[in-house]
Order: sequence, then C-alpha cells, then structure tokens
Amino acid sequence: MTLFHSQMSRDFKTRVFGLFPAGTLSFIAVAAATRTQAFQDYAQAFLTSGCEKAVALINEQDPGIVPYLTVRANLLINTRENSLANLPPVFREDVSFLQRTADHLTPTESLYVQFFRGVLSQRPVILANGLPAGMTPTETRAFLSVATSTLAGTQTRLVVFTPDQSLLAAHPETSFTTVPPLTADSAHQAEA
Amino acid sequence: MRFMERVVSAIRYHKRWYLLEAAAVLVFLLASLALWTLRQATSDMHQGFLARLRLLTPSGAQAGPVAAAVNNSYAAVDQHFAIAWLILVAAALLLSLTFGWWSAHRRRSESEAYLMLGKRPWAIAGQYVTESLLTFAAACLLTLLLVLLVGAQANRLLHDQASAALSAELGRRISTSSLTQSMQTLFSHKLIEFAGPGLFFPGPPDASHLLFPLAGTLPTILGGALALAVGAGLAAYLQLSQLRRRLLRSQALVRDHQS
Repeated sequence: MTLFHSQMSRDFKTRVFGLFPAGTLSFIAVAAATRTQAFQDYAQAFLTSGCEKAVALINEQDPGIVPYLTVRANLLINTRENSLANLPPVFREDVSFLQRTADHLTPTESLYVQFFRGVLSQRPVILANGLPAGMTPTETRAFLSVATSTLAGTQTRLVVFTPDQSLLAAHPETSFTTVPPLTADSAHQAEA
Repeated sequence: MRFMERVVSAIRYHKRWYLLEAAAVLVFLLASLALWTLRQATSDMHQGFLARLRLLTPSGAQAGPVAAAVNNSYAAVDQHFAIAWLILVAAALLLSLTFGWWSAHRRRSESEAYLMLGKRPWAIAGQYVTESLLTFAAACLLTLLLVLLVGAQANRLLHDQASAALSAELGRRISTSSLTQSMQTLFSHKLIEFAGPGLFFPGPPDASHLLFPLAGTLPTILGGALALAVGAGLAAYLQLSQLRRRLLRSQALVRDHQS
C-alpha cells in the first residue's frame, strides 16, 4: 500500500511539475463563479495523492493566519530555520511590519504573508484562489513583480486561479485557458 | 522556543478567557486545600484522642464500645472530607471539559489556520493544554501568596469546623449516659478524675508543627493539574479532530510534520 501510494505521489508530482515549471507564475482561467471550486479540487487532488507537503495555499477567505502571532512568527510557522533570508530585502528589513501582530492585516498584506510563508517553507507549489478583489492594478503589478523575482531560481511555482484575462495575456507561456487535469483519471475524464 | 512563543502570545491574546480560568482554578485550589486541611485536622485530633486513651489504658482493654464508636466517628468524618475532595476533583474535570470544549469552539478559526498549515490535532491540543497549565501555575502562585497571608487564620477556622463536625458526629453516635459510664470505667483505677467528655471530643488546634498553614498541597496541585490537562486536552482534541474531518471533507487540508 505504501509502495503504491509512493508511486502515485511520484506520478502526481511529475505531472504537476511538468505542467507548471519551477520558479514561475502560472495562471489558470476560470469563471468567477467556479474559481473557488476549481481551487478546492486542486488542493484536494494534492491531498488524495499524498502530496500534502508539496503545496501551500493562498486564500483570501480562509488565509490560515494565526491572529495573535507576529507577521514574522506566521512566516516562520512551518519552517525549521529561523531565517528570513529568502525574503526580498524590502520585506526582510521592514521590522515594524514583521513585528506587528497579524490580527489586522489588509487583504494585500495577508496575500504577501501567505505567499512568503509558502516560499519560506519551500513548498514546491503555491496555489492561489485568485488575488484579493480589493487590490488596485498597481498593487497587483507590484505583487506579481515581487513574486516573479522571489520565485526566480527556486523550486517553487505559484499557480493562480483567476477570471482576469489580462493576467493570462501577460504570461502566455505559463498560462492555461482551461483547468489542466492533475491526475491521469481526471485527464481521461476530460478527454471523454 | 517557537512553541512557547505561540503559547505566550495566545495567552496574551485570550487574556479575558484565561483570567476567568485562573479565577476558577483559584477557587478549586482554595477549596481543595481547605478539604485537605480539614482532613489533616481530623487526623491530628484522632491521633490526640488515641494518645490520651493510651495513657489511660495502655493495653486498650478497658476502652470499651465508646472508644470504638469514637474511632468510627473520626473515620466517618474523614471519609466525608475525602469524598468531598473526590467530588471536587470530578467537578473540576467536568468543568475543565466543558470550558475546554467551549474554548476550542471559540478558537476554531485559529485552529483551522493551524490545521491548514499542517499541524496535527494533538499538537494543537498540546498547545492549548500548555496555555491552560501555565494559567494553572499562575493561579497556584497567587494561592500560595494568599495562604501565606491568611493561612494561619484559615487553619484555625478550618480546625474549628472539623471539631464541630466531629462533635456533631460523636453526639449522633454516643449517648451522654454511655460517655459517663465509659469515663467511670476508664478512671476507676486512677487517682485523677476527668470531668466532662473532653477525653473523647476534639482538643484545641495544634498547628504549630505545620510549616505551611494549609495541608494537601501536593494532591491539590496534582489533582488540579491532571483534571485540567485531561479535561481541556480531551475537549480540544475532540473538537480539533472533528474540525479536521470537516476540513478534509469540504476542502483541502495540508498536513505537515515539520513544525
């Protein structure tokens, strides 16, 4: 059973890593109404394939941020190291932000914390259930720029489910107009 | 270290809740110490009675049925206090289970966050129990301070209570005529006479040998800590397991053994 499970995990990871190259941002086009379901299906696929340690989640509705811990403690909550060396200097040196308790973060700040937490815990895949609705185009561009530079050269990839076609147009090489199936079964079902 | 940072931050964040818990723990500790002090007083008075009886009848042959009834009275009163303490611990366990369940329910969004980060239910429950035990330790220190301040007066008061309870129990078990008859038997070969029932009834308090004015510190701390840890831990674990199952069914849950 373990051997079978291990083989299944390996196959799953191979397929996911093949779909989404390391160190990149990928966008998957989904309708706004089905975005959360598609995000949950993907997350569930990681779980059922025994690859729960390979994924981190970004979700505005359910950010998974512990309110009484500082931003720094939230960032390091899933890591063995006590270092923020992998953060961009502008965040690493923002002591007032890092020492703040995480109970009143804005959706944009929460997005950064969830993203950096995934990066620091070295999860190969970070799944995002869209970007916060309240983000201005400038804030979105700034986040995507930070995410691109942070992920470059790492083994982590960010996969964003979004109805925003402009994001897909800006990253045509790594974007999908339909949700790519993650398992062989779902691939066959999609073909049928 | 990071675990303790989470524990301390959580206590600070839920300080109203933990103040309430500390107050409940304080009541438990004082009630438990009072019951153990009552038992100690009963035991001291019983030992005093036996010592007095041994002086009069070294062989114990003349003690008669009255002395046996007195011994039974002491044992009965001690048993009442022991049962009261067990009920107190059971109540503490039940209260801890209820409070733990309520607390875990209030903290479910926080628990959800930990579960989504990959923490195991037992690890999260361990954090919640540690928070409760730290509150318990703080309440213990406060109790110690209170006992040092008013322990001597409390000891006298409790001794009087134990004495009154014993007198009532003895009054129920032994008639005045039996007492008089028994006294006459005991003192028939003595030069001195003992007026009144002072031989059988409790003497004045003697707490001079006690370093700590109230007795039962160890069973109080052990009983309280165990009731709190078991109650709060079980409630939190059950809530967290339920939450985890719901998360697994409804959406993705990421497990991780790393931290």
